[in-house]
Amino acid sequence: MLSDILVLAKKDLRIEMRSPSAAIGAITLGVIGLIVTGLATGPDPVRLRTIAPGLAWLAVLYAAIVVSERLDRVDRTDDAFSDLWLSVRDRRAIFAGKVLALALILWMITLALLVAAVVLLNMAPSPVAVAVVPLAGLASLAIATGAALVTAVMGSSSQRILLLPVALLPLLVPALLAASQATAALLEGRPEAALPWSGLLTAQAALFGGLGLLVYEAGAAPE
Amino acid sequence: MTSLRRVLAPPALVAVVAVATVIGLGLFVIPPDRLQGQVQRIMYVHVPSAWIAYLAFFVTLGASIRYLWRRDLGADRLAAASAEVGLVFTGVTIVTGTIWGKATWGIWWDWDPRLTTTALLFLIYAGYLLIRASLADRVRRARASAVIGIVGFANVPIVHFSVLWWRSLHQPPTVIRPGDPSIDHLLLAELLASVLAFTVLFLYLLDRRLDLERARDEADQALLVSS
Amino acid sequence: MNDVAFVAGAYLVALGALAAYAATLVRRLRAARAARAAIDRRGATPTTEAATQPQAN
Repeated sequence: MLSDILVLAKKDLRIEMRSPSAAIGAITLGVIGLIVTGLATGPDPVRLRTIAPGLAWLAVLYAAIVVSERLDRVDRTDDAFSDLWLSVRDRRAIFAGKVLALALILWMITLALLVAAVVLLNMAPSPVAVAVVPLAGLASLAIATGAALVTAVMGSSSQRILLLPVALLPLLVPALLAASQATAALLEGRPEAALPWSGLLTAQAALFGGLGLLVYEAGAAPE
Repeated sequence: MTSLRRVLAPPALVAVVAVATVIGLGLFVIPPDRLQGQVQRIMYVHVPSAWIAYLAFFVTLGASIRYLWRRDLGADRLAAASAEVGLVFTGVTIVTGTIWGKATWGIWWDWDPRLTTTALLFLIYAGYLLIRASLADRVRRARASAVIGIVGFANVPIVHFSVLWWRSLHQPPTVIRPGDPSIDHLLLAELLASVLAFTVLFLYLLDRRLDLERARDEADQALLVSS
Repeated sequence: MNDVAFVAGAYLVALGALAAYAATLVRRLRAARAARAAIDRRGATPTTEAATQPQAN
C-alpha cells in the first residue's frame, strides 16, 4: 500500500510541478489579498501585521480548494478514475496519496505566502519563528485531509468548484483558527502559546484522516 | 423502520398541545428567575431548540453511517430530513440566543463559544443541504452527503474547542452562564418539560419531512420511468 | 427596551419560524405528490421543484 501511496502522490506532484497554475494562482491571490487589505484598511503597519497570519491562512484554504479540485479533475478526465480505482490493491491508497501530495503543495504555498507577508509588511520575526515551518506542514496536512475527502466524494459535479467552499470552509474553521493563532504566536516569539494550537491541528488532521480512510472506499467509488 | 416510525411519530395535535402547554407555563405560570428576571424565560425555547438541533444532527450522523454501511436509501432520506429540521432548530437557537445576549450582555453577538459553535454548525449543515440539492445523481448525492454528515458531526468537539480557546485569548467570559447551578427546581422542571415537548415537535416535523423526501424520490423515479 | 419585550420577541420569532417551517413542509409535500400524480397521469412535463432537479451529468 505504501508504494501505491508514494506513486500516486508523486504523480500528483508532477502534474502540479509541470503546470503549477493552481499553486501560482493561489500565491498570487494571497499576495493580492494582503495588498488589497492594506489598501482597504489603511496603511497602519501594526494592524496589518496583526491580520497577516489569518489572511495568509485564508488564502491557503482557497488554495486547498483550487488545487484539490484540479488534481481530482485531472484524475477524472476520460474516465481515468475508473481505471485508477481498479488498478490499486487498496483504494485507501488513492486517498492517502492525494492527501500527501496536496499537503506538500499547500506547505510550499504557505511558506511562500508567509515569506511574502514578512517582506511586504516589514515584519521582524523572532528566532523561534523558524518553528512556523513544521507548524505549516502540520496545518497543511489537516487542511489537505479535509479537502481531499470532500472533493473525492462530490464526484464530477459541474458545480463542484462553487460548492466545495460551502462544504469545506465551515468544516475547516478549527484548522484556520489554530493555524492563524499559532503562526501569529510564533512570529511574535511566544512558542508556548502555539503548542495547544498544534495539538488541535493534530486532532483535526487525525479526525479527517481517520474518517477518510474509513469512508473513502464507500464514499468515493466511481459512478 | 416503518413500524418504529408509527410508534414514534406523534400526530400534529399532540405536538401542538405539548408545545403550547410548556410555553403557556413558561410565559405565564412559572415565576421569573431570581438573578436574571424575566429574560430567563427565553431559555424555555432556547435550550430545547439547541438540544433538538444537536439531537437532529446526531440522527443525521447515525443515518449517514447506516447508509454507507448498508446502502439503504431510506437511511439517506432520514439523514436528509433530520438535517433540514435540525437546521431550522439551529436557526431558532441562534436567534433566541442573540436576543438573550442583547438583553443580558447588552450586545447581540458576543462570540460566545457555545453560540459560535452553533453558528458554525448552522453553516456546516446549510452546506450539507446545498450539496444535496446540487447533486443530481441519486447515489452520488446519498454518498457525498453521508460523508459530510459523518465528518460534520465528528468535527463538532474540535470546532467547540477551537472557538473556546480562540475566544479565551481575547477576553474571559464574565457573565452568568445559563448553566448556573443555583437554578431553581421549578425552573428546572419547566426546562425539562420544554425539552420533552420540543422533542415531540421534532418527531412530528421529522415524520412530515420524511414523507416529503419519499414523495420526491417517488416523483423523480416516476419521471425517470416515464421519460 | 425592557425585558418583557425581549422575551416576547424571542418567543414570537421562535414559534413563528417553527410554524412557518411546518407550513412549508405541508405545501412542499402537496407539490411533490401533485407532481407525481401528473407524471403518472400523462408522463407529463414536471411542474414542481421535486421533479425539476437537474438530470445526471
